[in-house]
Amino acid sequence: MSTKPLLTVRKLSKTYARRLWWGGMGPRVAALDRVSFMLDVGSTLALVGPSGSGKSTLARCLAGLDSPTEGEVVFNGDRLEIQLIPQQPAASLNPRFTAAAIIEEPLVIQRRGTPASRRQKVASALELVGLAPDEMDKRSDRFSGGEKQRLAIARALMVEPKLFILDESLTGLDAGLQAQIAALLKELQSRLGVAFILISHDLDLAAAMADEIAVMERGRIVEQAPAGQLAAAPRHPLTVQLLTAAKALSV
Amino acid sequence: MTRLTLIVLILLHAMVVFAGFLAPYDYAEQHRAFPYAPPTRVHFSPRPFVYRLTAAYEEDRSQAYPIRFFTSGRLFGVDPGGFIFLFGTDGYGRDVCSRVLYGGRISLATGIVATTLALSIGLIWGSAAGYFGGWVDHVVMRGSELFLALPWLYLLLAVRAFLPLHIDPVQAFLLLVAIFGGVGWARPARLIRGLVLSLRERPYVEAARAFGGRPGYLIRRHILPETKGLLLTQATILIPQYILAEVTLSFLGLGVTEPVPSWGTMLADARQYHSLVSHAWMLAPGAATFAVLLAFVVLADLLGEKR
Amino acid sequence: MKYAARRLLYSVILLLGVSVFSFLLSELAPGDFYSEMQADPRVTPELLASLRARNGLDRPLQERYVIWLKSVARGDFGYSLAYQGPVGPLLAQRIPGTLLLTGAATLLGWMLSVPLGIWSATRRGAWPDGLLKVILSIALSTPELLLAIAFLAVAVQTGWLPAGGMHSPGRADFPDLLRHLLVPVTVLTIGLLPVLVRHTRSAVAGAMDAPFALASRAHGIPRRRLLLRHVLPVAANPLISLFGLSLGTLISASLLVEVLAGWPGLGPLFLEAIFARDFALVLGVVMISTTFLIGGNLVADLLLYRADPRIRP
Repeated sequence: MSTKPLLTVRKLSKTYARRLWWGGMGPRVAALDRVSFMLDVGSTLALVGPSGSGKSTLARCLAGLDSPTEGEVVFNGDRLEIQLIPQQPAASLNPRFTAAAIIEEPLVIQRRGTPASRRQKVASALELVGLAPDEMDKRSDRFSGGEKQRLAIARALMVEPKLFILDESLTGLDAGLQAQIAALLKELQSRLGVAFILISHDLDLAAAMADEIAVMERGRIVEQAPAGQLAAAPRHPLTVQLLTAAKALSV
Repeated sequence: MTRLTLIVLILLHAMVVFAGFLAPYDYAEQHRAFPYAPPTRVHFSPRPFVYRLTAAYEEDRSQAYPIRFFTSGRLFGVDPGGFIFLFGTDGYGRDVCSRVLYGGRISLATGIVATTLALSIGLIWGSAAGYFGGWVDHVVMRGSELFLALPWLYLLLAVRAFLPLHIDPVQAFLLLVAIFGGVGWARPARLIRGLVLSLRERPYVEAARAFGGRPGYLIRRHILPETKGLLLTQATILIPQYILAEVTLSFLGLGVTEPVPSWGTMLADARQYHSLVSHAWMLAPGAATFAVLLAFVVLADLLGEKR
Repeated sequence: MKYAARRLLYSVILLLGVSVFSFLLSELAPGDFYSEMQADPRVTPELLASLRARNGLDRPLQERYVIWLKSVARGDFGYSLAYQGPVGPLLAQRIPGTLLLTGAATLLGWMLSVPLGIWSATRRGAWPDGLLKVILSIALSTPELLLAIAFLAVAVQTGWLPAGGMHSPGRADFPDLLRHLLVPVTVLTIGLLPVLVRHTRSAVAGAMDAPFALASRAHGIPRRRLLLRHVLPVAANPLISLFGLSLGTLISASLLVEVLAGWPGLGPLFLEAIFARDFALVLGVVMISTTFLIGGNLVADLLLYRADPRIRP
């Protein structure tokens, strides 16, 4: 690859230590342990692993919601161009706001554009995610769960991100909805060239959507390989375990 | 039902605002010949009229005075020589009904203005404490605890005690409002703090923060709108409390003083127990206070059931 | 034990804070006890200055506060210029009156409201409960001021009950005390009942609706036993908190009722001190009443801690 990677993560670590009442420190817990990987422009990396393996912590650190204790993140763009879509985006939408208000909020905060130009952008964003633009003045709590997912994505699109981090965003959706959103994301990737980091414990989904898969356990990446290769020739016992579990479920 | 109660409350407030029109007499107008006159009986023929009042407080049926409406800038009245004391008169022959209407202005106005002040201060400090935490929170919490550590009437009277005793009615009103508001912010502030604290952690607030939202924006746009419900419930509780506090302080002689009437000072006039039973109408301001308080209690109950 | 110590320490600190606050407040007063005298032409500025110096009113703020605090610690609450005597004994004389009144009202109030609350909680939705709610709302809306005046007027008119004071002249016996106590206690209790009954009802109802209670009912435990042995102990928790919370209102209401009924408690003393601008006395009464409130809350907190294992760390 001759182009510069979009994201480089080197030895990212985050340790928690409880401060005891007399001022001393308790035992340290490593949520992230020297995580390193690279992500190319427009590609998709999947992070899989059991709960507690540090996937969400990594996502929050990359998105700037938490700070690591060690290591570095080199991103080819500014912080806002990394957008995090959490697991239940519905909660991240203010129920009293209209769809338009929610979607244009990033621009309002950044003081970009005029009310008219923002409204235009909201309309195009709604179209991009497959919703009708004339719904934009509806209150957000009147939308269905799947539609709220789309609203969250539309909002994230407003800042023209280069990287989406999907933290279990597709988990818990029924199969049809999951397929729809997955298709939408693929389309966005091909149209806009955004990169994705997909966090999931569902290896099947990861395999379907990602170019590369990294397996995490207890804060470390234990195996990382292109999707097809990982599925065909897993090396780490955890990977094997996950593969067998996935196969068992997808009868 | 809620709407009905609200209408009743607005009506009661409007009545005292328009006291100048609704009251047949001025609040200071004395009729020295008729102290402690009993309520005038209104007869219908079918037009309403009253009989002349004799010196012995009996009806002189030989002379009738029809009740005239919209006379001399007032809603109703009778020709000179006749009197229409709907709630009787007090020791100086002043019409109690008129004084209740005029007196209500002070009491009800104190309720609303003091509540607005207390809630405003409480909102500012409570939001700051809840949102920013740290030492701001610490100061607000300890400060409010201090105010809440004293029994409220002792606190009010203590603050009043250290201020000049003899002040004119306007100063007295402003003083009372300042004291009530300056003391009453504590409980609302704590409640708002709790609410803001939990609101701050809501995912949509965090999302907006992630987009670069600054505290001022987040508080204004996402957090404050959610406090409206709490502020409303607090208002329904505080307004009657402050009305009662004004009445109590004026009754004790530490609130609004003559010549401006207040329901409190009128009740102080009623404090002659020997004769009170025969002058029961002197308690009319008490009944008026009761009516207003009841309306608020019912409103608070209804709003409480709504959630 | 550690909790009790911490809580006690907190109460003391709070009391100290109130003392600073009250003292600073007294500084607001433009003028002092002697200011009223200034209007009198016979009183010269030198006389005023010497009077002030004699009573220590001319020292700087911090000094006066520390002096005051130290003497309070020794039990000396300062000098009442109005009564020309130490403040301490004045307070001590009136404290029993207030305690008696508030104590009796608390007793009567809880004795009435607990059965009423339980009765009401077991008949939710039925018309007697609705009627009770209406009566309580009316009681809640009636200012104690009005009630006291009305009762006293009736008492005087009918001669059944005395119109004020603690004893009729020349009598110091118990029945006489009761007759004088009747009106003020009744007024205070009527003022207390709405809040107490409402909260008792919701506490008992809450305990009755709790899963453990429903399960017990399903197991066939008879109602009375259920109430007494299972529901009440759980309802006791919020009720103990209620006691602490309603204490402030009670002490305040007592002030008013004492003044109205001429009952010799802290209330009338406070009022006299205010009108006489006797700030030492005013401060003294504020500190005592606050001590009662803080003390009462402390007791309630400690009871709560003992009664409810859940809140222990």
